[in-house]
Amino acid sequence: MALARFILRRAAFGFFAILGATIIVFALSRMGGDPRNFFVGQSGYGISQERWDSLGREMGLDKPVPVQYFFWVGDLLQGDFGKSITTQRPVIKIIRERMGATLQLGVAAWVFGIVIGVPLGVFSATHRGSFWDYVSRIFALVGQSAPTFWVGILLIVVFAVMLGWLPAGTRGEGFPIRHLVLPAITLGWLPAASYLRFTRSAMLQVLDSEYIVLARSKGVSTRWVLWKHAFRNAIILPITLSAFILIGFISGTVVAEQVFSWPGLGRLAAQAIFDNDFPVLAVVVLLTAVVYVAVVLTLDILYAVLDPRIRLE
Amino acid sequence: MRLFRRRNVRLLVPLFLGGGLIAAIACGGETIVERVVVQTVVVEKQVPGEKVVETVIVEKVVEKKVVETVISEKVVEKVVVATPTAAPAAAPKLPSGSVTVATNTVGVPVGTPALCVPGCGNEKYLMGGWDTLTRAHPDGTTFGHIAETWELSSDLTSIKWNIRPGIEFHQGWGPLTAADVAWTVNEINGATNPDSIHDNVGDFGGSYGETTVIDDLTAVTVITNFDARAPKFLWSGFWQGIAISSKAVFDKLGSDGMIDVFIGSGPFEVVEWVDDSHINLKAVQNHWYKTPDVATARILEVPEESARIAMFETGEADITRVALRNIPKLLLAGGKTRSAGSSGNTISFGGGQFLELTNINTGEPLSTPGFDPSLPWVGDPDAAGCDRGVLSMAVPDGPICDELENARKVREALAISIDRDAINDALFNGLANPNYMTHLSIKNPIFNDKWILPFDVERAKQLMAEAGYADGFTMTMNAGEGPTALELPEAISSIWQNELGIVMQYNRTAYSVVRPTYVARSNKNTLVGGWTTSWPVDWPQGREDNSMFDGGTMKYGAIPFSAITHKAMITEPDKEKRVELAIAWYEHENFWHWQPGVIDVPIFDVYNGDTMTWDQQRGTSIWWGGIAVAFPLEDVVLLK
Repeated sequence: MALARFILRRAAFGFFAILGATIIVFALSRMGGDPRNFFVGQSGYGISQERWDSLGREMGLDKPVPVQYFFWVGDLLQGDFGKSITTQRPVIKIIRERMGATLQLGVAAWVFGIVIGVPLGVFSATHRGSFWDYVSRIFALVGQSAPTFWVGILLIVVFAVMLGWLPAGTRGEGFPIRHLVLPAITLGWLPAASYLRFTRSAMLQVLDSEYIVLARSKGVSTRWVLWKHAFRNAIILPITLSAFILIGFISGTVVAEQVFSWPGLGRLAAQAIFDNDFPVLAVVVLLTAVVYVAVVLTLDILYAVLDPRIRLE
Repeated sequence: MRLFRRRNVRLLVPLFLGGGLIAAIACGGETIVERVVVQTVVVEKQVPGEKVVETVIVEKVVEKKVVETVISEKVVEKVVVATPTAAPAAAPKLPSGSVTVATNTVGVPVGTPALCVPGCGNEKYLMGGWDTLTRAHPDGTTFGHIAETWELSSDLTSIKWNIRPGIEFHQGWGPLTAADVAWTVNEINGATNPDSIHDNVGDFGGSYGETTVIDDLTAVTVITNFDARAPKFLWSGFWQGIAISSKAVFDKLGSDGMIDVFIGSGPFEVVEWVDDSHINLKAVQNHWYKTPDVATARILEVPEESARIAMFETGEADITRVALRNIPKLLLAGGKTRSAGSSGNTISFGGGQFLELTNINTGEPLSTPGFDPSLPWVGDPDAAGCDRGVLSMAVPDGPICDELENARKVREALAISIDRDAINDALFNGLANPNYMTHLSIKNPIFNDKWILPFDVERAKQLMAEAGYADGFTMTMNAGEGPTALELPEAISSIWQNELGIVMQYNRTAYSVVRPTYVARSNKNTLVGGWTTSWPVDWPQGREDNSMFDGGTMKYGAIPFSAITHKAMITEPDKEKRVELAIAWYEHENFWHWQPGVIDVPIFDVYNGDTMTWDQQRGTSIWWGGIAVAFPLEDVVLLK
């Protein structure tokens, strides 16, 4: 029963979080100005008052703002996400098209971060104070301090222009892997650095614990101690972190997508802001909110299942 | 010579042969037979208005006298068949190879004409996927394209379009007829389709009524307000033209179904057009206008300039556009430049400057919530002692009231304390030109040296003091949100801040946020504006500072004389009179300094000179990049 109450409570929090997100998104969109202005070209004689008014009726702008909000939420609940103002295409179709590119890049960067960051963290912890420990820490320092934009440009200059090994940008035709390498590294360097630091510190903490010392004193092999006992306990925190990093990637990464001309959700959202394309922006933001809430809820439930103390709290 | 036309020849040859045969039988021995044959020759024909030489096969009748031996009683005869044989003409060259363009945007893909929002209309013909009714030539002329010819009625109330026969839509969607033309124009035009949200809905609605079909190859468009700039303006690719689409596609798929379907009649067929990503094009073989040399073309959206530079240097892109200061890098990588016109940058004192009372077209009161004479650069024409009438003159014929004069002095002080040469050196490597007039290049034949604004800080200080602003004031300028958007505003205002005591505040919000204030005429900030200086001199130059644009973005204020001359210029059929009106406007601007010029920046696209030649027939004044960087791709010839 306690677990069920806990889940219900968390689910209610999630519901109100999403509801809050819809209110914030809607309010921000209305503060961004009248979306009809998009139809007034940057030059030329513009549109007539009649058309302005009819557009307002079509977009529901002739109703009071709270009513507009309830209509919008009602449409969302019925699966009608509306049409993009700028492209006149169904938003859900646009999101589906962009999701592939974002997932491709996000997962690649996520994998890069884990594959590079976690082993380096373990290596760095087990070679504390060595030359390679310092190299790893410098890698982490640069990854965490260098702006993504700068890293992207630097990688383009070195690997595309100077060495000619990899393409400078775009998703390519047929999505070849070589087009994915530089954006994935650009995007994955920062999380790799985070994984490295978290794994290193967790490993150092575990390696200094009494049960590791006991295991060593009992003659258990170093490899067994490291991977069976230390790593399994140290990896919990990086795994939790990785879930949130993946969510961040899935919801779009504006800078990397911009630098590498990657047509993903991040650029879509950024362009929607510039164009005040409310239907698109709202769905991207809501998608992010829903995914976050879902993952947090899942993690909370898992924690509660794994650690009974959390339920008591 | 008519005797020797082919049909006659067919009759004559047997007669001659028969006669010869009889004579031979009768006489025997050697005789002379006159024989006529038909040759096929290839001639080259110059197409009017074009540099292209078209190969045409014609039949030419020649006479030959041959000697034949006719043997008596045993005649051996070769029958001459007067059927023209095809000359061994060179096989048409098939498109081959590929070209890649990296540009900042690929626009907004929308197939349905009425839903073709900003970012869609011009892009269609610029990419070569669609055609326009007329086409502009770089030499300034306009010639027939989809419309072979056009006829403007003597009373200036209609245009008749004579559609070229034999134009086919892509992917087997049938011939392009007058029905397609009428349907497309009516769908776009706000006057005939109230639901249109096309980029140019207001421009068409303001000047044109319904387009009707006369027959398969003839359509007529009603003119409601004559615009002397037509048919180059709005009907060709020179400026905001209409890409003619297929009515059959609409009839089959409907408005929503047509959104993702890109069927045009241009030299390239659209294979794929993906928002924020790319356009894939395929050459149309045996295209009526021009078969491209390249088989495929790819236009990539690469928003970051540094990435575009890298792609050009690595050969991933063959054509691109970068800022003037980065062009030398691309030249070192084998790049060649082509001019895409130039952009005249001005400083606009249009914020708060809403001086018109009524809409010039309708006569109805003009809502101007942003009018603010408390701003130092705005004067109140209705203040005590002022005569509003001076704003409707080219140059006032007498002294003007202090209220207007002080604001004028402020604007002049600011206009003459801009170090244009220093800006040119610092931001444009000295490759640009100083500019003093509203989007009028100093190289333009009608530019008058007396319009030059000499750089004179001391006089500027004196004018500021006379206007009552010796200690300066605070000014907010709309600068935009781009990473380099502040460069020019800061350069322009540096001396204002250092010498005239102006405290500058830059509004960095996105254009989408600022735009409503332009539309509603509530903007009170100055701004740096840019507009092509490639328009004909008899066109009102990119003003957007008068009530002709009511419903559009009136970025540069509401200036009465601008409205008067703008309307007069576009309704005046006589070009010389239009030029006179333009000059009157420039005199007015030079007196009042509403929107002084600052710098005229040439724009270049760069293409790979090692892999291609590009003798572009670039007849467009669309300078802002995007797909215009690729126009016209059908002129690209790869060096194989």
